Amino acid sequence: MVKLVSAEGAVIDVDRDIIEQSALIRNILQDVGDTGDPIPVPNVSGPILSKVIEYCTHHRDDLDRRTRPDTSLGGDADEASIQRAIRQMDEFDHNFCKVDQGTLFDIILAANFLDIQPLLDVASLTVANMMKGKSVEEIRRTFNVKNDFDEEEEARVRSANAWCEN
Amino acid sequence: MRLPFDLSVLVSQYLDTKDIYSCMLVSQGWRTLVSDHAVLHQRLMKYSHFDQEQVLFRGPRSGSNQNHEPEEAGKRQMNKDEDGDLKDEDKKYTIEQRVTTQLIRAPKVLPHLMSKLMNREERWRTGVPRMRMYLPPVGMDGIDADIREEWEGPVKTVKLKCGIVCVLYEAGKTLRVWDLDHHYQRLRDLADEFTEEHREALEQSPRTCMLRSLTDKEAEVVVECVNLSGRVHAPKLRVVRLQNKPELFDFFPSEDRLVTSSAAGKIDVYDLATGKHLREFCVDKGKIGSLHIWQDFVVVGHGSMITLLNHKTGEVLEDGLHTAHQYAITAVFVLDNDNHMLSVDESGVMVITDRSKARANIDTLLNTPLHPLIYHGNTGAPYAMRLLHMAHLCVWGKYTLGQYELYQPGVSQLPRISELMLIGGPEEEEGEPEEHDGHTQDGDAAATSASDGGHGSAAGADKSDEAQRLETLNQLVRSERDVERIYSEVIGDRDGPALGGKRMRGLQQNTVPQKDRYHILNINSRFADLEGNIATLDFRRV
Repeated sequence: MVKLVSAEGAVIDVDRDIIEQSALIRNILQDVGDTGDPIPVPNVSGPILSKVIEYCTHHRDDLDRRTRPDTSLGGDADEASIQRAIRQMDEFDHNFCKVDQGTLFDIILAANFLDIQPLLDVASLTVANMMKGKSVEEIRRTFNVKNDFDEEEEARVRSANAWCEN
Repeated sequence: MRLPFDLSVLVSQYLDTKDIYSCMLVSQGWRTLVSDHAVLHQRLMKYSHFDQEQVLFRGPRSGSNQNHEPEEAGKRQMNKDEDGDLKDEDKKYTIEQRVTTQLIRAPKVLPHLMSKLMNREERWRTGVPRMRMYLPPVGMDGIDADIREEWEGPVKTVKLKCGIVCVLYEAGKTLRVWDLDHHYQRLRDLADEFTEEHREALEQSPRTCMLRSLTDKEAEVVVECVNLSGRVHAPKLRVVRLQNKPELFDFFPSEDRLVTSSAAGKIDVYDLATGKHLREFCVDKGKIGSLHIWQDFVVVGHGSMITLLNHKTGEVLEDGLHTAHQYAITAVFVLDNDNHMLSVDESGVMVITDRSKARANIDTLLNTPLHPLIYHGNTGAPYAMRLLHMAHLCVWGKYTLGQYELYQPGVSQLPRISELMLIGGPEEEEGEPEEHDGHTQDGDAAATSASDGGHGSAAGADKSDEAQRLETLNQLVRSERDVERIYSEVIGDRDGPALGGKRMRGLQQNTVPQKDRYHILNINSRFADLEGNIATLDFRRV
């Protein structure tokens, strides 16, 4: 068992093989060994950490998910990686991502912090799908964003990206 | 919902560029987020990896260490002294690269560049010429009588690369070189000032040192310099006097090299900037039908053979390499700098010749009439994309005659023939002819492995290679049987008896909407055919 300490200080016990899906935790355990001391996860709140553990528990036996072709840091995920992530999504993943946007964003950030690539793929894809192929207005509605461009500004931006309006 | 910055970077990886621009219009906050270089820079690199946009990839004209592949840029093998320091040349290159990146990454510059690239893609689709340029009349004062005479005659060839227009006259022993790229120096000056300001830090750690952000004014200069659309101001004219009357010429602006060939088979290399004659080669087998310069290489098509020269060292790398062509080569290009060469003959057959395999019969034949072929994009593209560009251009060139369509940029949009072209054919192995019938049995492979002396891993690799070769061969066999038919259906009818085919009729009564067609004026055309104008979709692309 590994003890994790969430941002609020809550201690959560989790099986080592489950949480080792996180490259961050795996590296810590490899570097310092399993001392039994709680591992602080200051960037992740308790509820989100629980969600992450729920995901990892479901996929604890999916070893092939844990390896992913390296994509360059900061670069686009290549098409093959995206397709792979989409292919690997199962019903659990779809249902797992049916949460409010705030939770979904927090899950992405947690997956990024904990370095759990499959979860990052799944959650990021879900958010990306909320934007893909949508008009600007639709995106605003989906994410409840207020248009704070004035007319002149918006016209300028649109004109600079005229191709986008075709 | 506020989109955290980290999240915008993470999610943007899964969005295409059009979606990202939609996000830009959502709100000012979102615009700031998705305009950040963490989101756009890599994407820009991807989009422009076959590009000749000067601000992105064009080093100083005298530079020789350009690396146009973004993925490779970071991995570039630097020459190091024994103490681990970068050699001066590499350090200079790294500093230039770092400063250029800093110019590009400025918040006001990066989105502009991105939209510029994207707008260009759209421009190509619309078929609206980007600009129509009238070269200003040449003042005759002070012009030598012989030049005056030839300049009053018909133009033979016009070529345009990187904002430089070279004009060869029918009667000429000179080239008129118009340098349209007056903004380039401003940009270089800005980069030089920036470099000087950070000289000390850049010298110490060129890759990682902190550089200040560009001021608004500096960003405006960059934007103005890269935004040349439709404006040509006072192009500078230079005259290069040639030693022999040229039949063909080509030039490579990044290295300031000009190469010409004469009817007598003499190939001369000049400094494009100074006009100084640098080197001479002679090709005596067959009439020279094509001349092309790429980086250090000059590739010459003569008869059905190809000769490859290194204009820097003077080395003749291939002397009359035989190809699969049965007719005289009319265009030839180096594809990956030294191994693959793409050539087209007068019957319209396109051949990829792999030097390293040095066989005439391994090439993928692509029976696509291309006349004349213009090499499109001589800098900046990795192998596949350059080939793709050629495919584009082939189609472009022909489309002006109303016979061909053009595919969207992107490998996935091309028919599979392009993949065949990349493969280059199987290796022939002596003593194992059965491998070439496409039906090698596992037992044969095992026997081959056993005869290798029991080197398990090597045998495994051999087997894998063998399977790959076999697959290649099968593809080639299929290509011989089917591809011509498939390609004729996909691309259009070819010259010859099939001209009256259904596809051809369809194209003649082209119902493709204007915005979905591609047009480009073939600037290798005779000047008269262009009604005295030089027109192109994009000034730096041919």
